[in-house]
Amino acid sequence: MTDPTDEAIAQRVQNGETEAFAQLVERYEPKMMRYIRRFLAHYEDTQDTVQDVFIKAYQNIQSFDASRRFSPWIYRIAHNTAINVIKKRAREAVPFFDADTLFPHPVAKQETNKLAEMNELKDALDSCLDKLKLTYREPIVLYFFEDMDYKSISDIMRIPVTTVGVRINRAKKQLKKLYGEK
Amino acid sequence: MNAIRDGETSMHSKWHFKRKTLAATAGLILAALTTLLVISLIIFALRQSGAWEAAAFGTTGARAFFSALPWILITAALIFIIIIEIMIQRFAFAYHRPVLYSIALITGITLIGGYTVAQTSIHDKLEKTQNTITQKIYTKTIKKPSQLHMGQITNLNETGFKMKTKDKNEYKVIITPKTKTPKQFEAKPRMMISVIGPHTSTTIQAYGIRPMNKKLHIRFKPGDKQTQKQIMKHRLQRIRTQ
Repeated sequence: MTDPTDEAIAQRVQNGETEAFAQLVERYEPKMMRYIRRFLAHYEDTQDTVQDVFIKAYQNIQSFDASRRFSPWIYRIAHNTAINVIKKRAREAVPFFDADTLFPHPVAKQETNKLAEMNELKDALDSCLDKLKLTYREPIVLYFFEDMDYKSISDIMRIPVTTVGVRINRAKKQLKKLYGEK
Repeated sequence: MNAIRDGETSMHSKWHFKRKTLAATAGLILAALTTLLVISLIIFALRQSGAWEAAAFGTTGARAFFSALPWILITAALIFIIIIEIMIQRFAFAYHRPVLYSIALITGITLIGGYTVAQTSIHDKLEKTQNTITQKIYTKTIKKPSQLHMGQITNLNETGFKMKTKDKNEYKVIITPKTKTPKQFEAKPRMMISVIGPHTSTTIQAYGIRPMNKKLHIRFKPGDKQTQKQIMKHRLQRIRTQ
């Protein structure tokens, strides 16, 4: 018997099966821990933030459309929660408006061999990720560590698909530069 | 999970989200309709003031056109367009593409919609309403373009002609070799015209002269019988309501 999909489990939670939510927590807790830890970089409250994510996901589960994918939905909640933490700590600027999203960019081709790319940048990612600006750090984390495609990242960050490509390319250049300087 | 099991945290109901969606949709519709109305009022005002006539007179006309623009309404329309843009950013069709695309789409739709509403009689009726606030809005919005004079030729003379405007002012229009007119233009008595140029209390130095757009004749004809009838009817209605 195949495991139920995330969407099927979410639907059961929506229908009142509260305990089914534990399955989603089990599936997504490691992913959320990894994502939040890397996204928040300087911050120590990863555990608390991840807990907040799941509480918010439960509270808002009725807003989830079961005909869509569950993963971008929960990552979007995680993104918002992490941004709120960053704003509260005020150690990094969270731009209200991003000029990158205003104009169209030439379409950045999504690399087909992500693994090779990641190996190439492995050392830079390990040592310099936390030095990246917030706007570049998040798409890199989602792309390399959460294995998301540009469209999913666009859904999570609510930025144009072409801007995702531009930011990832800039982030890669920045990482290489920071690693070179190190 | 303990917090959930202990009831410390609970699910928002489906109705909570449906209400939010309904409120957001209502807000969006209201913002869109307001933008349409504002833009239609801008188009109406420019038409009624004769500002489009000024636009045909080159650089001087462009300056006159800009002087007639209702800047407060334009600013309001831009603010509403930004509000609509922010509201639609929750939808994938908007955030998947650059902001410029959705702003262009919103602007295009509201301009077309505003133009369509401006062609109806809604603003004509609102302009003539008894409501003081509405009348004030229309009076302040419909601004006469600077240096543009619209009226009827009364008679010709050696330096040009005489014209009478709607507010019964009579001007001597001075035509010089530098005055620009359309090809084969011939001034004739009773002709409705637009003249651009600086004026004193009695003369206009014409930089340009053009026959007036026919749609504006009824509005700018001085002392026209039909206009007189309308003015009297309006005055009687006001007396009756007082």
